[in-house]
Amino acid sequence: MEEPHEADSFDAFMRARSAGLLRYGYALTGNRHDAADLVQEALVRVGSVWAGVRRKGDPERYIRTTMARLHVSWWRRRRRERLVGSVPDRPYEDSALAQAETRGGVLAALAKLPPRQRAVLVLRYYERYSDEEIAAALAISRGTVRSQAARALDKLRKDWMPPVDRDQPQTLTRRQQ
Amino acid sequence: MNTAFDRDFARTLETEVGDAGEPNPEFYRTVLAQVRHRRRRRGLIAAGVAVCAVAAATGGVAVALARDSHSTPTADPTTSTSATPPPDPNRVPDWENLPTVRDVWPNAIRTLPGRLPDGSKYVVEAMLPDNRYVVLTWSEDPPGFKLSRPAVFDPAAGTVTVLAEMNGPSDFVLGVGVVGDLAVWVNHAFTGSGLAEYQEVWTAPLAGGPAKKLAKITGQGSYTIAGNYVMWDRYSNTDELSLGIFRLPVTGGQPQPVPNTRGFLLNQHYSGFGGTTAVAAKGSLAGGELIDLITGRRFSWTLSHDVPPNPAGTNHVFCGTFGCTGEWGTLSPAKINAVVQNLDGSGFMQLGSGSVGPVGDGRYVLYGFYDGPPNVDPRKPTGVSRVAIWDRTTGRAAICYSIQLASESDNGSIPGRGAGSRPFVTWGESGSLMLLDLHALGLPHVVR
Repeated sequence: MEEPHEADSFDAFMRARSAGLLRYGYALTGNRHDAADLVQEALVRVGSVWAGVRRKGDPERYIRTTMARLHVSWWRRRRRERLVGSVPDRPYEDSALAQAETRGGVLAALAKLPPRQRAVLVLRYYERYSDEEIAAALAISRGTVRSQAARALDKLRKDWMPPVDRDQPQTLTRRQQ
Repeated sequence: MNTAFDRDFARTLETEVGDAGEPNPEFYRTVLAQVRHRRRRRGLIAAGVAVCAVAAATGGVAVALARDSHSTPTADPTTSTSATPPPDPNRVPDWENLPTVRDVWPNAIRTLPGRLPDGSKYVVEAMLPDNRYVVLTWSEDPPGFKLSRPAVFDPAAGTVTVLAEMNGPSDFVLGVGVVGDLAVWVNHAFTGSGLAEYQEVWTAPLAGGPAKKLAKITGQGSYTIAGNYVMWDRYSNTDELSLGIFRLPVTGGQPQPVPNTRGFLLNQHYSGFGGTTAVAAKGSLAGGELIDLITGRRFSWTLSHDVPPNPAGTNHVFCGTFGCTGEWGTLSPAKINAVVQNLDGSGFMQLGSGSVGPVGDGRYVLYGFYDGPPNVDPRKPTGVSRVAIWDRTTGRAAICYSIQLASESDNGSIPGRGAGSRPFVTWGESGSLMLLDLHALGLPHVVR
């Protein structure tokens, strides 16, 4: 049984870091509901073994890695269950992501990417990880990180372009067809 | 982060995710409640894990208390047999008033030691003649667990014949099955740097002898044993599309694609190691094509017309050779119904707000549900979670085990094993590992 101060420690960590983790989850998933589910599941997993995670140090890094891996595996599993059969010709998009798409913006463009490519970009540009760190987080090779990032950026450039006027970022967030 | 595009992308991403919102008090309560439950059931891959898996797969983590039902199983003295109605396969059982499996199928219950002779926890992977079992050693591996060291366990003799040790400390076994006199398993391994992962297919004589590595397979996918083959689905490395089903004879050779399976995926609920069926599926939520990978038979399924419209909800239906199980509803608000139906869409039934998963070939299902007061404080759970097994051909049903949610006792957290298509269900009870042998209930043996 875990000591009480360990439970208090986890509670404090959770309350201090959940908002930041939600933003990270939002970047990974593209919608708030999935972000909340992702953060919640990762917190539960880490909280269940909190003493061991604390001993290893840097629990936030641990939980963010857990979230990245969960994100990729959930997507894979969800797609299976959408039909256990239906293999999409393009990355699977759920209804919430479809809503995100209609909004435009970076999240909408990210939503069109397969989950691993999305995770690579989020880790590189939001978490500011090096390619070596991304490789370790996603348990893939550095070469795969680079190839996934290259493909993702190539697609991203077709779907999104930086706002010209940063005071009005909604006006030109999509490349005109 | 060298180009203007890189910088703009990073800056815009950071701006947009600032709209993620803030966690509310209920979020924290749910996390703490689930942490508490998971600590208590640490290690318990309960017999109803197929049920759990369904819940988890739906992203159902927000459906906290009532669905996170697997903790330490305890005898439930409140279960009554007197009110049990006559079995009827066309009627949903009265879940809250079922007898126990000991009452209904006393001769199908086996009691095994809770640990191996060396003190290790273990899970049963397959049943062998003479009350021997193929087992895997279970150990904690935060944030989860791992299975390793395939072995044959003879509880009567108190002997464990280890079939193979693991290659590396991080490796784990996905599952073990039996084909003839061979144990067949797939080992998930990592490279020395830990950055790349792959699977290895191994066999070893059940009687003991050197293990043999048949193949090393890179990438990710699901595995099953079908007839005399190990089969798996495989994705393209670039776009993650299904390339189809591949197979490898357990006697060795080169992996080959199974013809005309491009786009098919293994249905994990009706496939696996030591299972009675192995099914691949392709189609849409409204129906699709299935392949019995043991016989090669192709058949189809159709979603019941009785399914209520629910376009934006959490909808999953999985089908095997016998029928279909699934969940239908919404996560928010939490209104999910476990459902079953026949392959042609007939026989649709809503079982209740629990979770459902198939066992054996699907004629049996496990149904996990919460039996207690609504709207309790998740930090102080009360009531009982129960896991029932239902024979869809006869309508007979019984409680496998019940869990007192308020109990602080860990009771040794005897790990069970996911049922899936396995012909048995296991769970921990009073320091022992209980096994319900579905063959003793009437499940036909698979001829391999």
